[in-house]
Amino acid sequence: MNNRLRLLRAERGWSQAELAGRIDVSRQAVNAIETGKHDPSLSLAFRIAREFRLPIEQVFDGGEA
Amino acid sequence: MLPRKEDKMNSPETNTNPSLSGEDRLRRRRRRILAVWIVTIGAGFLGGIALGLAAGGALSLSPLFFWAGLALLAVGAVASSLWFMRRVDEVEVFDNLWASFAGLLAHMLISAGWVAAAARGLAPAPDVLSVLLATLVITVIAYAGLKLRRRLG
Repeated sequence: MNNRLRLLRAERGWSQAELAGRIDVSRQAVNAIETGKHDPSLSLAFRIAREFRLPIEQVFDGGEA
Repeated sequence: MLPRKEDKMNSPETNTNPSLSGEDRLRRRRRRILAVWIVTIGAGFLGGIALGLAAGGALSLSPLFFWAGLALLAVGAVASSLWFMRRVDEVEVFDNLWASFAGLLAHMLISAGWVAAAARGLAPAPDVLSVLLATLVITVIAYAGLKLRRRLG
């Protein structure tokens, strides 16, 4: 699954730790999602999209990484 | 969307103060997870010592107390594992499950292989403690390998 996490995070000037704290996961989890090593569950994906105030399809798409 | 009750095994959303920065919330989260680790490992350590003393005969327990203690230990192990899994994020749950799978596979292969070898006179009779120790070592190596891969990745 592709995602725009790194780009969206950079636009807001957030570190991985900042995003991790906001969505209540570890920094390693944010890194794993960004690098495509972990596909988040639906509830976590919605939580990430909500944090960026974007629809989920603007953060994630179903294509293979 | 608020997480429903059944989502708790998938990165539970805990109450963190939204007025704090994400990095401060992450620091609090780290402290919380560290406390969970210390309690879980501490409980396992104390349980293991108690079981070791009972098995070695150092603790003189009546059979009723022995079985009651063992049941308490089993309930405690299940409860603390569930408590831990519900407080960590889904990547941690994922790593724990893979490491547990590696440990289970190793346990089955070592046990079956050793029994088969002993039956043919190629090895001494299987030793339960050695199998348990090998299982534990392989589980820890698998977990450490996953964590190292995440850190390097």
